Amino acid sequence: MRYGIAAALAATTLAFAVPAQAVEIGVVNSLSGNFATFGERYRTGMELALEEINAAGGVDGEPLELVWQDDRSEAQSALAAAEQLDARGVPLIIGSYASSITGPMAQFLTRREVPLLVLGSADNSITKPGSEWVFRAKHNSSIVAKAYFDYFDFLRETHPDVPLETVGFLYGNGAWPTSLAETGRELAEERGYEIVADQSYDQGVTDFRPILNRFRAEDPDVLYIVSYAEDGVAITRQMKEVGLDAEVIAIDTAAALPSFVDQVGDLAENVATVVSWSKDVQYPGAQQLYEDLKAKAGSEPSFYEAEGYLALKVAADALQRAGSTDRAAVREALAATDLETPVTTVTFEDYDGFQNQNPIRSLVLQIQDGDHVTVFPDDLAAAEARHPTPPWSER
Amino acid sequence: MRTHLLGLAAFVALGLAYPVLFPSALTIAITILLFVGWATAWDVLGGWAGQVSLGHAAFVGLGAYFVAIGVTEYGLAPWWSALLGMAVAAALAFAWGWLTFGLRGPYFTLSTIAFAEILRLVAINEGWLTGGATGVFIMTLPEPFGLDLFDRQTQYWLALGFAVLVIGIVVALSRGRFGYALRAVREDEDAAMAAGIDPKRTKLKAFMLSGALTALGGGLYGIVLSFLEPHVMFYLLLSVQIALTAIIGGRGTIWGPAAGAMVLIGSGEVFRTTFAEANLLIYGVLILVIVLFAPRGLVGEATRRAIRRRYAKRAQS
Repeated sequence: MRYGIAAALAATTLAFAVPAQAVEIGVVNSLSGNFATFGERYRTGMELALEEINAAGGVDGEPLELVWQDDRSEAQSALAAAEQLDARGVPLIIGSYASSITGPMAQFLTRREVPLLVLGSADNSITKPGSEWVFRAKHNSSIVAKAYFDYFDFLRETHPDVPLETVGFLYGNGAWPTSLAETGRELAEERGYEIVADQSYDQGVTDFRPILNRFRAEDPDVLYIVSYAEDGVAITRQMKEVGLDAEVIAIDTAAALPSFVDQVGDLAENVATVVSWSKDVQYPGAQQLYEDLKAKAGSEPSFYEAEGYLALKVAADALQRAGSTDRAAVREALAATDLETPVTTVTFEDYDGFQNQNPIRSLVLQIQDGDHVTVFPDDLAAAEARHPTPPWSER
Repeated sequence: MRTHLLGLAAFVALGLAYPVLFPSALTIAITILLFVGWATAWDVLGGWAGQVSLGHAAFVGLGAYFVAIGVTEYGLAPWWSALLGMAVAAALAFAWGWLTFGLRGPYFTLSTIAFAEILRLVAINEGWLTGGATGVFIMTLPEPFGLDLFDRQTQYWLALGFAVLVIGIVVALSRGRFGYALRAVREDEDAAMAAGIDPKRTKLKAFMLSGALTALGGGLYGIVLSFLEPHVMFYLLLSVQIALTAIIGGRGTIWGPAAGAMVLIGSGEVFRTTFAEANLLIYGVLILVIVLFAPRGLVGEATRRAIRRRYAKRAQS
């Protein structure tokens, strides 16, 4: 025992005596608490990217290391973690999932002048107005809502015989669903869709039948639903129960998870959902990334893993080009990013009130024969969209 | 009384030394100090008057939102909007208490959950007033005497001031007439009434004081986060955390809630950085152990043992 302590002491002294020649990146991720399932997926993606980067020689010939900090899915812990990483002198921080955590972190790191690369948060408010220190390679509410309406417009054009005139909005009252509904509402008006139903629900509701019955009375052509996992499953099941039909059923977030198909089975058919990445997207290397992620995760990967992978790739690329770990230099390098990855292409731009936002191309997936298939945009699609969705009575 | 003042002096000394010793761990200290203040304020009602509230997040959110909306929408300096928030918190506590203090037992507790829920739904749905579900950012703050309120150092001193203020108030009232009235009501409302104390009035005063102080801390919390979402600010879990902190530390004791905040938030932070994914599990085990072995709370149990030892000694001599 005594020797053990002595050895441990010796090891720590050694560790301090010989500073490791590694480049460090700070990561604030939700590894415990409410969002741990997502945090776990992000970590898998980042670990894969880390292996690839170090196998290819690291950053400037030095190995890359991640300094992990758990935020316990809450803002105060994330802020404490960010403060520690700042004191440690990391050149860059990646984090976190929920906007209620990422928002305060973005504020804090901007004041400390530490570059922050957003990991999972998609709320518009993180990069709009944003700050010169905050970067986001993934999508935001505006981009996602636009992808949905581009898809609806595309269906209108390709199937002029199926009228798509009216839309119904159903969404949870959390930050993301609300902001996606708000942007969707603006687009509906802009592009000539009549909003015939518009309803938010308090998260935690399990019986949606009264709402869905009201929707049935209004008979929208397009259903635009934004729900987290359990709500989305309940809504889909109860839609069939009350016989709420629509030509297009789009369910954001919930329907993007592989588990959605497992839980609702055949009812998932034809449901559309927008993601930042999919295994069958026609980008070079996407297929390989899917295989690698699957091997790493030991289960079906989703866009979450891909977004984790993307964040670290972008960070490493910026560090490489910055040629130093000086934060201002890293910020400059991030701003000048022009990168192609198997997940998406990345440039950081200021537009429409956004700052340092990657104008990423979102993908529309449709569930076909129990599988998520990319159907839009046309040039990235793996299959044609099945349209219109048959009524429940004919399935 | 003198021991408590000495304790308060020691607390201040500790607070003065901390930023010198740990200059890059201020966020966690701010969180601890906020919880010291909140749990102590909660205890005025929950411990001293014996009315357990599980809705104190409502006051935190109220304070935070007053500061955020005040500065972003009306250009109101945070100290004025914090005062306004305190006044509104006291008014709401009065109204809520007026309706519910006729109830005895767990009914008041249940109604406080509803109280926080109502405010949460208002914050979500009245977007014109609160920024709605997508939240509100505090981008700029005035700089009184050149102080940067966004600076962690400044926030730390404010948090320390808040904690000391709340504990000071409790020290003062523990020996005052009001403090005795609170305890009398807690022990037996009918007996208190027979002794000429109006239980409802006493409980109302306690609720108003508790709510207003919690809102003051909430205003500071809003500045620390500088981004508010209603789901987080009025979260039931925050109410539970505040109550738990006071209960673990020792209800109805002056230093219990403060001790609870230091032990719970402090150990939570240590576990977070050392145990990775398992940290919440270990945190849960810690709470269980404390509840099992110190059912009166840390300070409550320690005081009881000290008193028993004193009696035992006296009996022997």
